[in-house]
Amino acid sequence: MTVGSVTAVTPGTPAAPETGGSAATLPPGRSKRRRRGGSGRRMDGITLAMLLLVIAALTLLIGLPVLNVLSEAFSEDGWAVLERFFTSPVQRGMFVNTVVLGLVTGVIGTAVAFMLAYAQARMRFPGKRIVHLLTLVPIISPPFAVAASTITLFGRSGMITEGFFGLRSDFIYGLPGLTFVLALSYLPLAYLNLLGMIRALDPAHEEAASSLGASRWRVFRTVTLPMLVPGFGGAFLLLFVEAISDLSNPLVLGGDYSVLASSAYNAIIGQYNLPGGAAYALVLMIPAVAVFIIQRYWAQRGSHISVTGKPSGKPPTTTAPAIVLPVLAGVYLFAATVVLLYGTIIVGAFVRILGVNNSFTLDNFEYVLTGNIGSEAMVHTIRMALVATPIAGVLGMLVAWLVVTKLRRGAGLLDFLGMLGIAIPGTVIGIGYLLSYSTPTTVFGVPLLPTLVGGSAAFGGAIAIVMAFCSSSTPSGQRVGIAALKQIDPSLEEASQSLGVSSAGTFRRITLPLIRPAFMAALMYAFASAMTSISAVIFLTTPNARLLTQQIHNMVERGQFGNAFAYCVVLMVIVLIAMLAIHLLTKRMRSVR
Amino acid sequence: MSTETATPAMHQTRSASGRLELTDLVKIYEPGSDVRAVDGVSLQIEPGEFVTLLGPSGCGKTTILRTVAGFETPTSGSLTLDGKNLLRQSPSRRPVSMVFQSYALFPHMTVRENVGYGLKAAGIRTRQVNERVDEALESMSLSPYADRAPAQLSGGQQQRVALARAMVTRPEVMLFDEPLSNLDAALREHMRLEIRRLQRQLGTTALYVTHDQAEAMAMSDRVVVMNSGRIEQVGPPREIYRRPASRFVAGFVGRANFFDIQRRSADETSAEVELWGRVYTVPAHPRARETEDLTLLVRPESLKLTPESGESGPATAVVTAAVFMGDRVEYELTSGESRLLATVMDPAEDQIIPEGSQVRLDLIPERAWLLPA
Ligand SMILES: Nc1ncnc2c1ncn2[C@@H]1O[C@H](COP(=O)(O)OP(=O)(O)OP(=O)(O)O)[C@@H](O)[C@H]1O
Ligand SMILES: [Mg+2]
Repeated sequence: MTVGSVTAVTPGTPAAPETGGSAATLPPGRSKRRRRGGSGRRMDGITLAMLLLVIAALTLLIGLPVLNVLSEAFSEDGWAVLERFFTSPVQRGMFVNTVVLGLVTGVIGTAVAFMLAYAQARMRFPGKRIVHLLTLVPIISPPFAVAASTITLFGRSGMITEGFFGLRSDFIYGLPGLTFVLALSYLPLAYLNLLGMIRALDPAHEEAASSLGASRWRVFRTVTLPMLVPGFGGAFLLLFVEAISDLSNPLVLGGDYSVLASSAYNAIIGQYNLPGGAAYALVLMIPAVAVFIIQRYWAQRGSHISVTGKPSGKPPTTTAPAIVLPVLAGVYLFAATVVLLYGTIIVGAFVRILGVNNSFTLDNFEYVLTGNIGSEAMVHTIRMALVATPIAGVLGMLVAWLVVTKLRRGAGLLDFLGMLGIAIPGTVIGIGYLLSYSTPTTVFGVPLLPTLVGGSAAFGGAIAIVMAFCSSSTPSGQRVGIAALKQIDPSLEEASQSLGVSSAGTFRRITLPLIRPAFMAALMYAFASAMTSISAVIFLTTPNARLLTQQIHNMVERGQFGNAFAYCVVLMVIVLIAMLAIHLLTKRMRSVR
Repeated sequence: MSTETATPAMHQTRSASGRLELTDLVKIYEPGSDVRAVDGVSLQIEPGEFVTLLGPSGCGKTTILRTVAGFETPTSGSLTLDGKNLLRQSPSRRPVSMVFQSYALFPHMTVRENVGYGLKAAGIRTRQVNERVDEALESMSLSPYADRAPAQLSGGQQQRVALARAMVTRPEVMLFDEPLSNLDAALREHMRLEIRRLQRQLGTTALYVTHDQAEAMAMSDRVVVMNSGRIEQVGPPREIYRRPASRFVAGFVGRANFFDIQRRSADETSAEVELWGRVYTVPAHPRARETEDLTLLVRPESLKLTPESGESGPATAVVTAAVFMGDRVEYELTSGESRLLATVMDPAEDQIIPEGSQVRLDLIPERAWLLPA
């Protein structure tokens, strides 16, 4: 229930948390938040229908596939693989590698994200706005774009390591490189999370502490940090799960550091061993779900932030040089790294082989845009992402709406189930879809769904891919939705209903406009994540449903970095255009009203 | 700050220290703009005194408080405590505690930890911290809640924790920013007395901000009435009410009838004015001698009403509304062009004048007040 209570995940729209609340923040008062929907009233028809719809959708998107992974993993062939985790040091090592990668990425990523968010919220420095945008850049790019660029710069014959320092080093292949790439790629969401939380802190708490005689450092240590604990938990969870479910970076950057996700991929794509893949997926799910549950427990304990009175004062600005100087050094170093990595991608797209033959060329773009597969992949991906975006956005908001305003007893459970999607690694989802939807789905012998996966399925297998997109971005929508809805004073909805507007009408005319910024953020994130995701969908592509990310992945694996970079540039431009379009579209929605 | 333990029951007064002095304080929030949130405020507060800042929204009360606490730096002016410059000290070094309107209780600490926070920050040993926290909780009847989280307390209890937390460190000066505005009326009245009792007991200097004139009247040694960044008047509650320095103060504190009037003659303290064809001798503001155009202030309770039948009173009026309030009746009257308010205290049942009746009006001249227009 509380994961999103004070956080605000708003990719691309940093202003959303403020605007979301400005129109309708809770009035000052000591009353604890009332649960909306009246007490003891029976659920109305629309709510019940929505609830059933949501449950059905979550079951198809996540529940059924996960169950099938479980049962397949415990089948005879699957058990053979599972057993090895108890007997073979190799398999155990793989498990340990995965968890270590998740932990290190989570800790480093959270720390850096916090540093960036803190500087953004509490310090004054030149280029602040630009640094903010640079921090968000990885949202719109596939993670192995960063991997390719890292190899070009820091790899065995990297432009910086060999070209500049004359080092032939394999240092980045393995844990260091993976951590670097994964933390940087998945940090934006953690950053936005923490930024929203720091901004939501009532400055009066810190002022009260310092007026009681606590030094700056003491205030930071005993008041600021502890109040952000739920935010740290959320950020860590995000990074941890993304890091352990990523299967493409370990394939290009892992060296002999093998992890579960890429082993699952090899088992299925390389050896056609579906039960084996399911077994890896099952093992992968264990740490993810464990961290998810610990995080929720933490967040629940740390969420006693009560609304009493109006927030007062303005956020304090940190000026002590002993803190500001090292933090800003870190911030600028980070910004420079992003510029370097993405500069490499852009420049690399326009030259033959970056670092080897730096002559200008448009061949890479010609290959990507006019080549058969490339242009097909682009069209397919955009089409599927466009279908998935509104579905995921609406579904996420619907879950949030049910959790915050409609349900009473089941709210916690529904929220938990919805957010569980965050803890299920994409790899698991992909394998689950292979297992569940490669044949028609029947319920007690009654046919429910046709075959969804594979080239011969309806729409060339595109439905399963759209579903996979939705499964990964619905939880984010749910989270921003919950954060936005919780800021709306329940009396607004009650006022509307007492003026004779039905509950559905109230939702459309009052609630929806107020959560518009959150909805917009959810849509942008859903589109960006669909365009850039790979871990789930790489199992589901068919010749009739190609993916840009898979093309990039193939290019990177084959060492055709120029083509990969061109793909990345194209992909990033598409995502940017889409974000702008969503922005303009949802803006019109409001001005029409 | 003294560190020796003292029982709260001990009526220690510390009238030696805690003299707060604000001189020509100016605060401009946006550099370059000439909007002055605080515009040349000078104020001396004696040790142990309870002073209230009263004024309409946006007049700069919070800004002054936050400047004293150290959260805002004044654009110009000085601020001293017992002659020492406070502006050089960071908020945590100032012997000044603030009680926030939102209470600002630390949500991740228990009541006990909240109250002990300032003592621990001062480096006092745990044993002593515990003793003093226990005492403070005891004196605020908070002991049963010591190990609860703030969110598990009622609004009034949270308020008391905030108070205990600010007082336990025995600051020289306590600042309050509308601390009671989130409480209901009955609790507010109780807490007024409670705050005043504790402040007297500790002998702390107090600067208190409120919107509520009744609160200001009830609590303060002196009231500072402010208007758009400036001080309109400083004085004890009675003086503010009876002898306001300007029409703004008279209108802001309590209800008032104003008559535009010309004086006939005046000396230092009184003047002769003509109203309703009669000549009255009324007390007057010293500056009333300087100008001809004046305002006569008559509080509603200083108007005398008699039913038409009784023939005393030079003016007539029609009762347009009569509101029975229990201990008094409040009348709204129309007399010629003007609308007047009158209050009759403790009326007998058959003396309440019904709406629509004609009445005769007079005033009690020694309760009126003549001030420059
Ligand atoms: N951080 C700030 N930046 C810019 N202007 C500010 C800031 N804080 C206050 N002001 C302005 O300064 C003026 C005085 O504000 P202040 O908060 O001191 O008023 P107040 O008397 O406490 O009002 P209220 O009774 O509503 O609390 C107002 O006009 C306000 O808009
Ligand atoms: Mg104020």
